[in-house]
Amino acid sequence: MRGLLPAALLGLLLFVRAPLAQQTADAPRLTGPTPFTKETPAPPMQRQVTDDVRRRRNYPDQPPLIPHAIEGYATDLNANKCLSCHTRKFTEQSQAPMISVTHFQDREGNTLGGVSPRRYVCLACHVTQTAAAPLVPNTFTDMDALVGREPRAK
Amino acid sequence: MSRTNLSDAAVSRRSFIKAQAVAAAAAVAGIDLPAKAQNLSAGPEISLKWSKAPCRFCGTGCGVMVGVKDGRVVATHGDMQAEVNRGLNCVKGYFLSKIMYGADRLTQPLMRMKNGVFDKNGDFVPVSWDQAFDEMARQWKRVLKEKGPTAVGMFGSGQWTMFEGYAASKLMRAGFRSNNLDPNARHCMASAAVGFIRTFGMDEPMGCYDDMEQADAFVLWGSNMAEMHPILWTRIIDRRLMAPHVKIMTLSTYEHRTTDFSDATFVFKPGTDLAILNYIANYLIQNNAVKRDFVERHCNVKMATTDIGYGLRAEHPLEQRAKNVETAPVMKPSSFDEFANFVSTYTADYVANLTGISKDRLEALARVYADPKTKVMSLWTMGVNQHVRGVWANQLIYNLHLLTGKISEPGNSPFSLTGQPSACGTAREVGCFAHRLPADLLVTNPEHRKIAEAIWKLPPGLLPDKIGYHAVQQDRMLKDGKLNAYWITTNNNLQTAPNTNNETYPGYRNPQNFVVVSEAYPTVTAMAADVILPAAMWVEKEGAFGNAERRTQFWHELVKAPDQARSDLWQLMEFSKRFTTDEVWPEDLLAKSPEHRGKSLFDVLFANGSTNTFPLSDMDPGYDNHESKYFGFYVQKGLFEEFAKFGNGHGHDYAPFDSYHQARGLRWPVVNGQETRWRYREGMDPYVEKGSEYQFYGNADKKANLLAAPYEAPAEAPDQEFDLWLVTGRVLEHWHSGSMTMRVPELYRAFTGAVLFMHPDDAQKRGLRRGQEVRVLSRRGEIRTRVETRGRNKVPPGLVFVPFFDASQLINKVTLDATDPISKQTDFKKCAVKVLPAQEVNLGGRR
Amino acid sequence: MQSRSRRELITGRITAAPQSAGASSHLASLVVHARPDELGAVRAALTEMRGVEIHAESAAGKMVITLETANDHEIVESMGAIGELPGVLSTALVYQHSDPHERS
Repeated sequence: MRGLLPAALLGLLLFVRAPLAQQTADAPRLTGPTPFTKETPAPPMQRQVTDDVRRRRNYPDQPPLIPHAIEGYATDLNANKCLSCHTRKFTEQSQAPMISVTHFQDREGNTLGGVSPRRYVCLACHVTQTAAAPLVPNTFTDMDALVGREPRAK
Repeated sequence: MSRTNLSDAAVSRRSFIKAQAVAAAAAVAGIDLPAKAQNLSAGPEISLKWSKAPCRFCGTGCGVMVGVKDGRVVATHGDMQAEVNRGLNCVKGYFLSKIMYGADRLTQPLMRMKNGVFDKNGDFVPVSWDQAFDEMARQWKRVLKEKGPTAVGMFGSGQWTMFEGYAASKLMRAGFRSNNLDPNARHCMASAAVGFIRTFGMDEPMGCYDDMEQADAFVLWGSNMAEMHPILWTRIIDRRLMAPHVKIMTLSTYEHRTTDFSDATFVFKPGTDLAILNYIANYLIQNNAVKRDFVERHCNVKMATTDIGYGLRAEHPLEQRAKNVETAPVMKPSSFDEFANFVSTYTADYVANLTGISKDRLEALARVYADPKTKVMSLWTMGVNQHVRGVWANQLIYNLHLLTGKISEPGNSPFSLTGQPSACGTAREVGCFAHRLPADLLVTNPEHRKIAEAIWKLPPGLLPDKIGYHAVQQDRMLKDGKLNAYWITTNNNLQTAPNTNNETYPGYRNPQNFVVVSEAYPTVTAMAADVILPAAMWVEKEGAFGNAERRTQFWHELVKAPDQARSDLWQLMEFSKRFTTDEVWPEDLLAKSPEHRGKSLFDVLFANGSTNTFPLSDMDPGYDNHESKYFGFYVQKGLFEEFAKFGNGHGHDYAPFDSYHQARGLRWPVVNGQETRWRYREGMDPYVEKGSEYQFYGNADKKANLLAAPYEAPAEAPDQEFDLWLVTGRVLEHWHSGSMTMRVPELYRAFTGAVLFMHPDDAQKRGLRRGQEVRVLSRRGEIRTRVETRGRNKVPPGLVFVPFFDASQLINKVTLDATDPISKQTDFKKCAVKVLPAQEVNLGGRR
Repeated sequence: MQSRSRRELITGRITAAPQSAGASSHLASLVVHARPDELGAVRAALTEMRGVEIHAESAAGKMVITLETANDHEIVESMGAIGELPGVLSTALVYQHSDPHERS
């Protein structure tokens, strides 16, 4: 066959090769209404996860997710509510996880006495979660054997 | 992964944990463990292969380290060595590992068929690449024969690699002889690109991100950096908190996360930023803050053509009414006195009244620019670019920096941020716009075409001289049946184009048209196509992006694309094999250059003795490269080195190909191995002659243009019936139409569905509660969504914001297809809507 | 996914073992301090116990062991049993790990 690379079978999940119609039935929110012009109801709003249970990370460098509500938290130039529980000195009282040591480094890699200002915008990396079920499964493979090992050996 | 692998992994993970547990206890006991007891699976079993790559989301261009194990990306983290981000990524960047692994990934070509043959009304059926390409070639040839090159087109992307954009440009312009090639970047920064050319004669910023550590004041004009450029925002916040004198001032039509972190926020009435800019220019002149010698030596003054319409269809009343639609781009020579006189009408009283910002606050803002000791970095993105007067807005910002000489030096920097990862590299430098060739050359300039024909080894006179259809025009021409063979790739335009129900969808489904979509996932756009081609993503191919600070960054192919998914580069080059010059080039040109006769487009475009110069042995043996192995030469290197010939020696110099695989990106022009951080400034830019101080050498006389341009009203504004401004945009957690980020569970759960951000008073007035389902209606269409009166965006009364990432709430059915008449970029920030409770609709039983 | 509460984890009231390798979803490492002269007897007794593995020992009578059980509760029980073995001076729990459902 002209124009065909050797088939690169990656052993993906079976249904990936199922006809498209079947795939999309599960995920109308990703493919839009059929036909396109049809007006559809808005999906329901989803409940926030507030159970305070830590979520396993997909890999060591993934920023941990926020398992609690943050609505109404002041985060501006004068105040940062996140820091009032997660900075080192408050963690005993709050029992919140301490901000990672990586956050004490400035742009040049110097370790500072406190959280680096470049890490002040917590929500750029850490996000809350709703209880929504994923729209489609994600077949990302966890590097299970490496849990607990710090790969950044520099 | 198979089950066996899974349990293997579980077992080895368990023994690893056990080893840890043992080691911890041994340490407590003070016992040295015998070597055999440390059943830690060390060595190659647990090592990952780490390689660098730029992030594939926004225009910031963060460096990412990608960890690969057994042919899968298993981890990513911010690259400590990347100057852009020094180890940081935003939440999207941190989840790059998962974007390729949505379970509904497209892995084989699909074609609409009935009874075994193509049928526009058929259902999608899996086909081979040969079947798909055969049908495509048949359709392309039919259309070319019936209507000629103006009836074929391609809608590309600022998310293409530079190699892909370059190959597409060659295939469309030289192969099919059509300039109907435009990138989705048209929607995103065309106004910025045109603003650069009109001011400096050359595209892209003079400064760079290093300005962020030098500036004393940051003025953000229509940019929510905290969400849209989060890592650059961390650099600004770093600077602000480390140097207390530094101030951040943000102008916007509503409050958001960026304004949360700003020292001052100026919420103005939509569109009136033009008046604020002119007020500041007036203030500078009135208060002797103009650096007269700089202006006299380095600037020309131009007068804009006014009353230029709104880029709508010609029969639209607004276009009928406008006097100077045809001459919109013309700038007439003027003088400084005329300029001063022009802006003098923008008094504090007039502008305060027009914008809603008080006089003293306007003056405080103007003083930032006026103070000679304050180094100012102005930053802007979509608020300025997606604007029916976006080109003017860009130029009026340059006015402030040119009047004060605050330009081309560390910390003094008008800086246009880009939305896409390679808006600069691919869309602009490579030249994927309907009017552009590589290195700022233009299709309408016969000298420029000659240069391209020489480098591409084409018969003289082959390249088309007419500007092709721009993005919005492509949709209109599809609908009108004038554009009939159409290839959409690396974008989701049916979700992101304006006024889609009326202007985009009808063209895709027009029975006269044949529409192909190259995609990684079944998007809204793919579902409306006739053929879907499965595409390789990001590190499934070797690539290059150019970010907003002129930094060119390369990466290697790190993992294989799934099953039959192929890179756009392979798709474009392979498709070219199905055409011969005799089929698509005119006979008179072939008669004059018989050596081109009878050859395939692949032969004349890619196996042309230039693109195919570099052997496979030039490749890094540590990495795979499917395209090169397939075609038999180092494809990416050949394309890049050929492309670099356009700009080398002309202010667009690139380093040799291989050096980009080593460096964490280099900022062009790269001259004698040195990148250029600040352009147009003596001592910093090798192109500036000694003794000249500044040279804006993109223009023949090496001077920049000041522009006198007025405030003109938006195309549509709220009235009694449609009583609210609608602003659309992105959110931090989702990239554009969400086709990747909505498939990453953590990102999906972080912002699960679009909502309508509305002021609580506006909600109350309409009897709406938070979370309630509502209809958002404009004159063009409607959607249903839910009300949010709290949260990150705090809109003023009279204005609502809806993000566009959610395919189930397609807000672009509501938006208006008005564009800046000069740049042709859509204004996605201003149209009029009304909001009604949805219950009445529900009674109709539509659920 | 994460469906159990922190309370359940603390109290160890989790009985359904996840689909992991074997029934042992809980793992702990301990330092057992025995009288040096009774080390042999303690070692023998430990070897008899289900889920116990000895990894190292010192002349001073310290042993590094792991415990693998179906739930937290059993770990506590086993620790108690080890503490009551003749010759054992003390036990110290160093590391505890419970496997939640790893696969979503």
